[in-house]
Amino acid sequence: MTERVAVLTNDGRILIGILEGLDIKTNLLLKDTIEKVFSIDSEVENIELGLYIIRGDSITLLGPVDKELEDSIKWDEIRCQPIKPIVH
Amino acid sequence: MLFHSFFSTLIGKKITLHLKNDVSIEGTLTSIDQFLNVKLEDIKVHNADKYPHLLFLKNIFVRGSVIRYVDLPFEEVDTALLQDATRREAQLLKQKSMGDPKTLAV
Repeated sequence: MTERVAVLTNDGRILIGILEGLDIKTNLLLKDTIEKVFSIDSEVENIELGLYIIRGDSITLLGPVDKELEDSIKWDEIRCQPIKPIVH
Repeated sequence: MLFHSFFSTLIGKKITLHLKNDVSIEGTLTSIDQFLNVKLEDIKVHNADKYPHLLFLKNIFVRGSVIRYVDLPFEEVDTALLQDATRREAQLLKQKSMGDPKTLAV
């Protein structure tokens, strides 16, 4: 806990924040959350969201942010479509 | 429960998850629970040019409900044994639903 984690949600958004809490249903509480917005014709945008609760059933995937890997990425050069939403 | 036990035998092996958002992720299976939520280590996202979004992650947790397919290492799976086990489980469920006293005690 109190580690920076990245969460991919079912609608394809990527949220990064400090994990403050979670429960049995994998509902998450994130502090100092930012959303990374990817787009095809502009660079990756970071939007500050603050304190965030994410309902467990809308989470696709999550993992601790690897600082080394994160720093090695040239974020300003990345141009890509956002990830598609989950279709059940 | 059968598939949970089955996947438990694959811990430490390389698998590929194909998610319901068309993302495919390869990694070493480290953990699996009863909902088939999966933990992967040293992940690699297929088609990284199209999906650079997750490049800063090494180890991930994936919710079982968003997984569409799982690619298994062929040589690690005893298909005959698995088929046998699935038949047996189906049989057991059938007997249970018919109220067979012999199986109710199990």
